[in-house]
Amino acid sequence: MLAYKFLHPGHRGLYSGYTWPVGEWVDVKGTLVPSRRGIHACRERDLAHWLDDELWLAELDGTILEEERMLVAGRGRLVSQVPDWDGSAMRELAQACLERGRDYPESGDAEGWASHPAGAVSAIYMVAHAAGLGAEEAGGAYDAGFDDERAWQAGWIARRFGLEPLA
Amino acid sequence: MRPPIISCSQLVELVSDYVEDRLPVQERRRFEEHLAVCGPCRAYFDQMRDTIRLTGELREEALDPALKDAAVEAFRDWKGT
Repeated sequence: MLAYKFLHPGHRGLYSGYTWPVGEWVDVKGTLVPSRRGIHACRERDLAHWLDDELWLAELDGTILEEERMLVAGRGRLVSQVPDWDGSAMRELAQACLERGRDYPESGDAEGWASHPAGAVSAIYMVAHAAGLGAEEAGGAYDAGFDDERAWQAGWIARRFGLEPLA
Repeated sequence: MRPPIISCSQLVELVSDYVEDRLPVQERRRFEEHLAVCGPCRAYFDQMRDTIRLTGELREEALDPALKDAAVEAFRDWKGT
């Protein structure tokens, strides 16, 4: 199946530090354990949870675990990089989130973080957190507000960069 | 409400254990949830992981003798201070 994978510059995994070869299959030995062992990737709806400087289309194969916010597979390979997604795209998303979150009751210092060189990812999260708190204040559930905002952020990325639905 | 993700200072304390795969899965996940949303901690984590990797590769015999002597001299009185 096809999925998305965010990576550091030079196609290096943020969590693993592993530098991915482009196009070559990578196999995992042993039982898959989310957050510990496996090829980690995500669906379109999960995109906002894993932001990083490079965004790749990846192909997964073998055993695939479908977790709440991620996919974990026994083997995978990088297929192609989404060409226009980079650090400036993340800052653009941060600005879009700030605009949308302007009326939320509490957005912490999201604006301050957005202006910090490494802070775009923090600002984007803080707006989603504010949406969760807003939902709670309105008598709803934090998770619903937070998840709705993350879904909007993922949709923004898909629309802005022309990502096709994956099969 | 979701359980709170760990703080920046907690992440700093857990970096070595994370890199050396000594954290239980639940804690690993909380560590990663923080990294996923905190730009400054990402930068710190990158630097720490590189440092841990590089120092792990160092062998005493690979050190230049002059550098080794300088390091021994620099730390000669360290325990006494």
